[in-house]
Amino acid sequence: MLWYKGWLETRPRVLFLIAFAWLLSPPGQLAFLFALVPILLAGSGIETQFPWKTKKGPVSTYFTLSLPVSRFRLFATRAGLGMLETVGIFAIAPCAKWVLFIFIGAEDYVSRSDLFALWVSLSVCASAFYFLGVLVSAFLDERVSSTISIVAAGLLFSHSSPAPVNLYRAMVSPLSAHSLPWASMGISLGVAAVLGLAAWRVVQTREY
Amino acid sequence: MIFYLNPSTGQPLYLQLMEQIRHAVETGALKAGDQLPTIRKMAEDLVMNPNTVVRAYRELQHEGIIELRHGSGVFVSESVGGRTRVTKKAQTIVQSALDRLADLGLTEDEIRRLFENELAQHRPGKASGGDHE
Amino acid sequence: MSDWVIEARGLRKSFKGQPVLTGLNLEVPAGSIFGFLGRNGAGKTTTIKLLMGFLKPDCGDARVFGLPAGDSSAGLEIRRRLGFVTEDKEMYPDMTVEQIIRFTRGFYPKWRVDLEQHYLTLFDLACRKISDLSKGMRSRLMLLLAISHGAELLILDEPTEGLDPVAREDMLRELVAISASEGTTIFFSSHQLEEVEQIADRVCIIDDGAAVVAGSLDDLKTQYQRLRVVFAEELRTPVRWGEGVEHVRQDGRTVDILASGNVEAIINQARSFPGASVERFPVTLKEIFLQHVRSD
Repeated sequence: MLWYKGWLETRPRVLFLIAFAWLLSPPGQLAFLFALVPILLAGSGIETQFPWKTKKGPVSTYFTLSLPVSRFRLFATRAGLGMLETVGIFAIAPCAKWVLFIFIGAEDYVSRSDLFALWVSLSVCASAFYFLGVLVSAFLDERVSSTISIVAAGLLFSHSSPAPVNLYRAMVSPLSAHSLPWASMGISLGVAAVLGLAAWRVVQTREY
Repeated sequence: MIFYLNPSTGQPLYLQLMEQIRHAVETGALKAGDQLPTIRKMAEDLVMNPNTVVRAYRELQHEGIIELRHGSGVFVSESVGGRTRVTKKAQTIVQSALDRLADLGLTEDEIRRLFENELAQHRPGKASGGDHE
Repeated sequence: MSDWVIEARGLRKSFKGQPVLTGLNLEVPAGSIFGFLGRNGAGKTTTIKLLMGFLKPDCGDARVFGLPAGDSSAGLEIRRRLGFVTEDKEMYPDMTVEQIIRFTRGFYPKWRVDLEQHYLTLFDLACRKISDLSKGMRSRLMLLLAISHGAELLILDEPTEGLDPVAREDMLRELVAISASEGTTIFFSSHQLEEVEQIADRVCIIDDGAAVVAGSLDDLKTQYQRLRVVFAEELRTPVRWGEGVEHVRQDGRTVDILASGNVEAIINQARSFPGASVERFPVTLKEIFLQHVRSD
């Protein structure tokens, strides 16, 4: 039931982000904003995350920590859930929306393989942003961690850096390149692994 | 049987409970052979620690006032009749002493303080006199 | 091999250079109801967090069920066997009562449905969202969750805080009942001296991060006595009282003494003055508490 708990915590955000991604689709000039999806879904499992709440709401941290479940399981479940939600949202928008709009004739044709590649590249390149968010949320207060993550993402993954480092461009590159951005995906996964490990170390040793 | 304990008087609760049970036996409110509540029931009814009830029951059992019969429960000893007689005798002594002290003109508070003072210094069997006048 | 359910030796903990625990020792025997008392900021919650493994001590050793409290795998075993009620009484606001029971149940190997049902009816917890519950109802729900997995030990941080007198008495009664029927050890921190006096059999008073008084409540009440000595005439030089005298207050010919032991010798010393009379009074937990936590 840890998954269900995580779902309850992220549900409002998921719904908002589906709408957000829907509006961003098909990917145009603002495609780099897709990176907001993983950032806002990131969480480290111990403290509940409610970004941008005006006053500090109740925090169930101690109840969660008192359960006979390892911190690792709490962390991994929440991290896994957010990533799955990210992948799921991208499946809906841009991908499913595009398929639908092609079907009703509102959009030009795009090949299935390109759409699938788009889904994969969005999801894999999102992982670096995701685990950046996870790391920030591991030690910052719930209300500010999203903002800080966004700022950090802007600084770290610069919009104007060259490929393959430019993950923003890589996310939607299958549309123009008709192939997967392997180098960028590799970089993203590598960065995600490092950040994820760092986030775990913070959660593992942190005092609450 | 209704007991009332006051945790804030400073007297240990197990002593309070013991006194109240003893008092009930002496005045005949509890008769020989009557059953007392189980430890758990007593603790719950009075909202007090079960270990305290255990201690009170154990001390009373030691004094012979109650007995714990395995499987059946806690009962007032058959032999308490004797204790009641002693208490009745003691009551008579105290009553006549109080009458005499009242005749001397002492108020209730004065009598009470006198008793407490004497009890604090009392050595059973020692002749009165002590170290000072 | 000790059989203390909770044992702490020399616990020290500082936050940002400020010492909070300065060498705390604690011994909680199995089956006891243990009251942990102290002023705000004395270190009660920090101690509880250390026992629960939320924090690690700077030095010292804390053990629960004989296992090291800060260790992660031992901590898992410890948390399987104990129940905890947090100070803030916060759970997951969007879950209903039924959902959080199902959620919690999944983490424990054994679950006592009989206890769950007993407390559901007793506490009158309808199937509502947790965010709709009052603090008192949340305290009861947390207690239900803590007890229903058959915990051997309950660690409760201010369990009756925010409860009205009737609800408080109900909770105390349930604690006493679970102690009597299951033999559960109960360790609770509190500000309320009266309720500790009512149900605890052992207490520890913590002040400035260390234990200043600890032991069986009955023993403390027997050892501590108040003596009122009335001298025949006012003393010009104060008496040098023997061992065991905690506090002396003089008013004219009357001297009020709080003694923590050695009472007979003190009485004899008082009686050695011609014309002096001595009265004894029992001492409440409040007096013992105030005596030991008043800043000197």
